[in-house]
Amino acid sequence: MSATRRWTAVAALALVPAQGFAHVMEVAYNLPVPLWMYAYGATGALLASFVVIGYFVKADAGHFESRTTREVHGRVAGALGAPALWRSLRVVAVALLVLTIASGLFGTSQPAANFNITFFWVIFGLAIPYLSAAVGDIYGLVNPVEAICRALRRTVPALFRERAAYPPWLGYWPALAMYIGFIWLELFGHAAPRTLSIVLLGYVVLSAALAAVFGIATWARYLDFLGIFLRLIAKMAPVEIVKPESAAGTARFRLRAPFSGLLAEHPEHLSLVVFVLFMLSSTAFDGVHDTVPWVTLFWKHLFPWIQTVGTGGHARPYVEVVGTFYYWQWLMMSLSPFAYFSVYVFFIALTKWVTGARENVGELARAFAFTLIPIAFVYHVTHYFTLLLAQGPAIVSLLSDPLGRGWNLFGTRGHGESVLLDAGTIWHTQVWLILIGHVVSVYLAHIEALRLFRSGRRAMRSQLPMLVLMVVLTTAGLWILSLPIAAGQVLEPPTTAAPAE
Amino acid sequence: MTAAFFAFRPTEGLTPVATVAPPPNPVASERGSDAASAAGTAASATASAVESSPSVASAAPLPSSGPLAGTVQTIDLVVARGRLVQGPRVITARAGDHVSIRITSDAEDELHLHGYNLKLHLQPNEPQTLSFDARRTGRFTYELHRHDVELGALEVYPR
Repeated sequence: MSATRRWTAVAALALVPAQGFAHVMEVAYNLPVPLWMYAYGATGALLASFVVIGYFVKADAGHFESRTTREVHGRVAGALGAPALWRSLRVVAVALLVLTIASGLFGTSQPAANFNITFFWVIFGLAIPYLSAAVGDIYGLVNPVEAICRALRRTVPALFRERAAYPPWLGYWPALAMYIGFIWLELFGHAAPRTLSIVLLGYVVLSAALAAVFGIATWARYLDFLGIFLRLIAKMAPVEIVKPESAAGTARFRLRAPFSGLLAEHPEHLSLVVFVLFMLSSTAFDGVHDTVPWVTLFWKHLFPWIQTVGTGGHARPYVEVVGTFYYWQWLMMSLSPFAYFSVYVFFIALTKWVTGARENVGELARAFAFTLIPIAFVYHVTHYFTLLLAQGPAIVSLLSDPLGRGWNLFGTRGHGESVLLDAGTIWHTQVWLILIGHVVSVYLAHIEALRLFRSGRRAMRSQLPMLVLMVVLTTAGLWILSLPIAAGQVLEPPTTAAPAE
Repeated sequence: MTAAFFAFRPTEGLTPVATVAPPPNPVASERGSDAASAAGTAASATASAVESSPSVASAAPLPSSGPLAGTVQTIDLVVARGRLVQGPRVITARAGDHVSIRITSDAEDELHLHGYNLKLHLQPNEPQTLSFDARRTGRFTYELHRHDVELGALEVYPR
């Protein structure tokens, strides 16, 4: 068997694990962004960066310090912050969590007909983050897992009495590990409704156990990766929601300049920096992992090498071979935040070198980490907004028939028309979103630099490496959007080779 | 770009609209007719699934009409044991092209094209043809329902 033929055979047989999952796979209908649009986008990012830099030429730090948040008072604020309102919303949140778990356990195994798949992945996974970016960290107030823990504590106070102090060195590492697991479930888990519900139930139990050991507040701060993810995104919102001390207190609202929340504090732990970078790398990986170049890289270049090294050149059963492809995908996904972190730290080290800053690399890495969130966010939106529009409206119908048994509880079954956009609209939205995110990140990083380095000249110099990094990230994001997709086919067999049999 | 958690809802996307000249033996499913009125506007597709012998299908490609009229494409696919053994994995078209997918399967099955939401019943070793105007742009996968496997994708680019 020639090398090409063997490779073709492998590529064709790589379809094996996909069987049985075709029904739960992918709804993305995005076409790759055309090359010319990618080129324009990348050039635009570069030009926009210089415009931002030019804007700061005569700026000093004090100019940006004066922008403060303004607390909202009056009747509207009082009504919006009323404990009764948030208590009811918490009840709704707990009810939705219970419904999500129950519909998976007792409802249809058809993913599209079960409430839990659409609600968890599309409404909770996409609509809630985008809403948080607009109106602030609502989830922090209604977190259903936290609400369950608090309710349990009211009944049995001894349950949550902080048995151990949370080890400071652990930081956000456990949350990052859970976040990686979450993305694995999304991309590779092919979780049927029932499996998803079992995982969610497990998460609730694990969370309650962790809260019982370290205390509810510590769990919410360091261990609830969903809450942390939404909290980070909500820092972009023009509204800061101040959580009351107790459940009976009134929530307060502060208005602030959009994105200024990202500058309000630095991550207190390096693990949160890696968490932020995983927000970037997980979406980038999702974009790249089923494209033709990525798949070719494995089957054409890595796989022959693995085969030679691993088996001494002997052919192995194809199912085993296919396994290596998936393990490789999982490994790359799990390593992606650390790869991005290394690149980030490299540019931060350059920043330190060109400015002669006294702060060490770790401190500088923490100082600029949150300024990457707008880029991470627009990556996310460009990858998933079409899915939100295509599948999100289905929730209207699913609410009436959560178990997929033909019920019509609220008379909404069959309603909720999915929105499919034409390719041109999608491409333009994607490129513009990426450019806007890029400009915001460059702008924020410059303000951060002015605060850190005080002098305008030093700040400007410090921003050259950061600018290169952000142009690289933005160009990479656009490039990924322009790659041809190989999903479900693994690779098109070359026409010269015989069919695999 | 891919989120691997569910397939298109059967009612989502386009609903096949009646063809100009109804085929003698239409087998395209017309589920989701409640959405027909809305779907018929911006990106309506004239869809038909014609059961025909290979000679008939290749001899009489349907001419397309209208301002977006494009080229006529006939794609031959051969499926054996739930796998594509002949034909392209990706069908590339321009908006407005008239596409005919002629498929021969060794077993009874159902072909489902997402996005356009077209279905074609397959009989063993009898070529079947799915013909439609590719008016909706995007990348839409098609799968075999019985074998539960994705065969490939239709990529319709803007003109």
